Amino acid sequence: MTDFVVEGLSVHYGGVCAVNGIGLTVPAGESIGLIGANGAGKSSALKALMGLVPRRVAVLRFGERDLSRVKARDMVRHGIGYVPEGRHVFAGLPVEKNLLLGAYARPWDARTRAGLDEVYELFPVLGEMKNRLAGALSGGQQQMLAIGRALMSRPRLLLLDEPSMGLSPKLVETILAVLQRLQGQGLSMLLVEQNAKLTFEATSTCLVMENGEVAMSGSSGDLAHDSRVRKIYLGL
Amino acid sequence: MKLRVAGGRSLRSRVAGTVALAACAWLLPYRLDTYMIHVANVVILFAILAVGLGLVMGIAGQINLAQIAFAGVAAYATAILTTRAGFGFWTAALLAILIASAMGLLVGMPALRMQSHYLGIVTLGLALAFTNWVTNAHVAGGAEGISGIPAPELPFVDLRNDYFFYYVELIVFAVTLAFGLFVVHTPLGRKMRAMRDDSLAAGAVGVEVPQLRMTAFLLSSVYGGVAGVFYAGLIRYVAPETFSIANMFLLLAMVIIGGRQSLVGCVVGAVALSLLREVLVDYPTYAQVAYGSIVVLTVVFVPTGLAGLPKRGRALLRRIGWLRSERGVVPRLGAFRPYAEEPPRNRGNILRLADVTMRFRGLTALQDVSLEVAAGEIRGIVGPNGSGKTTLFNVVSGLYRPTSGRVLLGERDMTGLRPHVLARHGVARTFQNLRLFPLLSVRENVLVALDQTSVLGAWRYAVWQPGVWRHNRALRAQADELLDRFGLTAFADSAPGELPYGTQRRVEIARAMARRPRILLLDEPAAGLNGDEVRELRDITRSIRSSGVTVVIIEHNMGLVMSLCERVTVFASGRIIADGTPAEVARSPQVVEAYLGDSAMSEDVPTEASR
Repeated sequence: MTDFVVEGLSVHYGGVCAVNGIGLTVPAGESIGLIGANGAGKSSALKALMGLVPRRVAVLRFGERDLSRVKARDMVRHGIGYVPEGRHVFAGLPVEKNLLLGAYARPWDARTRAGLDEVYELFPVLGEMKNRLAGALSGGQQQMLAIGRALMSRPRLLLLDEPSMGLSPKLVETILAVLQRLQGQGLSMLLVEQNAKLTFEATSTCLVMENGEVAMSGSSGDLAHDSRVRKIYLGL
Repeated sequence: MKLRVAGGRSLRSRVAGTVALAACAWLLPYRLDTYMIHVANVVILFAILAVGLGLVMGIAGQINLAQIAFAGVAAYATAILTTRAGFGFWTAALLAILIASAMGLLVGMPALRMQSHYLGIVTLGLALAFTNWVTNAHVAGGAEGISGIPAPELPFVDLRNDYFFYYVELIVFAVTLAFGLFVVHTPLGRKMRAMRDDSLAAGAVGVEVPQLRMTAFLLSSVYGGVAGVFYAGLIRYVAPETFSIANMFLLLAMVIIGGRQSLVGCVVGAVALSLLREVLVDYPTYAQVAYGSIVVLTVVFVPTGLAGLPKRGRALLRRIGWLRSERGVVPRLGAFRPYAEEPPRNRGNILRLADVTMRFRGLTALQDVSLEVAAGEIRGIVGPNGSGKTTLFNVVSGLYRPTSGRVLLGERDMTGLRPHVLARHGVARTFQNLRLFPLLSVRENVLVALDQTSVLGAWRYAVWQPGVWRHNRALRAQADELLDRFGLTAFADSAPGELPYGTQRRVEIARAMARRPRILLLDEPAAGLNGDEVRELRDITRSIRSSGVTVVIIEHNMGLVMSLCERVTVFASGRIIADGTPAEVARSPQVVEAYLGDSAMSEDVPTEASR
């Protein structure tokens, strides 16, 4: 099966260690959450996994394939999708072109077209606005576009960095429903979130990060009720 | 602990390096024959030109293809004034520099209205027009050029001697480089760098972007003028091809290879490429190919130029493990120190929108929105994504000019004013997607906003530098105070991009507050914050309000909105659908339907007032 296995992942910026030798496994079809305060190293870990910042890693494996030396642009080709923190849509291109660029790494075929329709079904508002420039969308719509764009590469594992950021309460529910639906279709997910409720509902297991290390981990259900986690790491 | 270690080289080693370099430059003529000293003299002129081009392109981010033409104007003016009008060299030189600066202002004029890439075309046109004119004009000697320019006269020194000329040039070069570095590290250059990084955000913190662009062109034309004058004095002959577009591209190559964003890098590039040109002087066919290849290789492999090499080298050494990386951890945000309480500076309504409509090509983002915010209030703006909330902020802060309707601040009509004007009238804002200046440190980000002086005050740079320096020092003290208040001291020297999202949001609030605005617009400040951080944000916002600042806040975190705002305005599809106290609004069925849904998902912040 295509488990995503990481061991000994470190990230350094200048002289500072943002992530210090963490390990995690995303079993096929499972969703794992990564939570913790701002500055704990969650986003850095995700960026490093995707190859967007220089990484040092002992093991980075997706199924049988070794990805430890694979660059970001090729991570997509190995079935790993990424939704960046802060959206990063192509502001000067229409919505549909943004989505099609998500499929850039794949051959253009009937499934690309079908992929577009799927995204429009998940997020009807994107279908309504497919000819509008992405830069003219509201923040929340851009967030949907970023998720849709990642899905266009038909990933088997999706790395999501704060997909709920800047979304209205109602839309956060929509996102949760979308994530659960994708999971039902067999997509694995690694989710970095500040919205603890969303994380606990969308994932089966959570890792709590602190100072670049994994402070604790457990089933999402347990952690959601663990008063220590709630108080110290989530500030709830 | 400092996040960035790269800047840790001590001042003493820097001073020692400068002194050693200066000594080498002083002793250099003793090792050079008459031909090589001439080459050295030309190299210095290119270095001065490169510093000027670095200022306008690397620091201010404006494309300038007229730098050589500026030098040409000054050189020709010197030639014409000395040979045809009989002026002495120095009088002619002074006038020539003034004429070159006038050209700089002329080129910069369109900058008041135009975007920068169009401006590049304007400068190219000017450069071509200049060579064309001097080739054809009788007064400029046509293709033959003008010869017989007198050497600059100095008491006791014969400047026809290239060795003596070298020392004069060296001193001029040192002064111009020092002045350039002074500009870069004081308010004027800082604003230019901010404008280069993000001109929109620069406008929003009060930087007069159009005037600043023009100033940048003026500055580079002065450098062009100085180089041109000394060129005329050194060669004592001017001809059109010296100031051709080919040499402009050579100069451009120097700046790119050296590293645009560092003036010292520009000098290094100028020296390196001039020497290469000397080596290739016998192979003119290959010279152009060689310059071209070097530029391409630089852009591909060291986009930051030679000046960026040391940093990249260190990063590489660290990655392969030759240089030990510190085991430091990312510092935590400090606690916020509340402001002293003050009554609001205004009474009545501080912000009033009357029937504001905003249309973009067929899309109506705001439809007849009328809204009043009382001074001293914390007003919440909520609504589904895409309902026009951020558009509202963009209209109020001057990024958009509304299609119709009026925006009033206090009693004054502010409709359609530019962002920097509004910023100077007390409107400050943060951005939903964060718009910090990425190449400035956190402290510099705050400093840009702190400086209240206008670009027009830049004349102080020419006459009274110690005053500028003192002003800069005072600003730094204020910046450190502000960073301390917001718990950001540990991040003062970091690049914003290195910081976690939540910390960057805090920096944006600090930057917005630097100007002590009358009204603060916060666009989703709680996005990406966890529970504790949201509570801190709530305390910060309350303290900002108690210090006399009116706050308007767009937020999806309903817990925060409920506990913070006196009144909440609800938007949907560009219209206001409800307005009232948080409790009233939350009960309105329209709001629940359009916005909240089954709001179990909203991050709830405990509302106990004790925390």
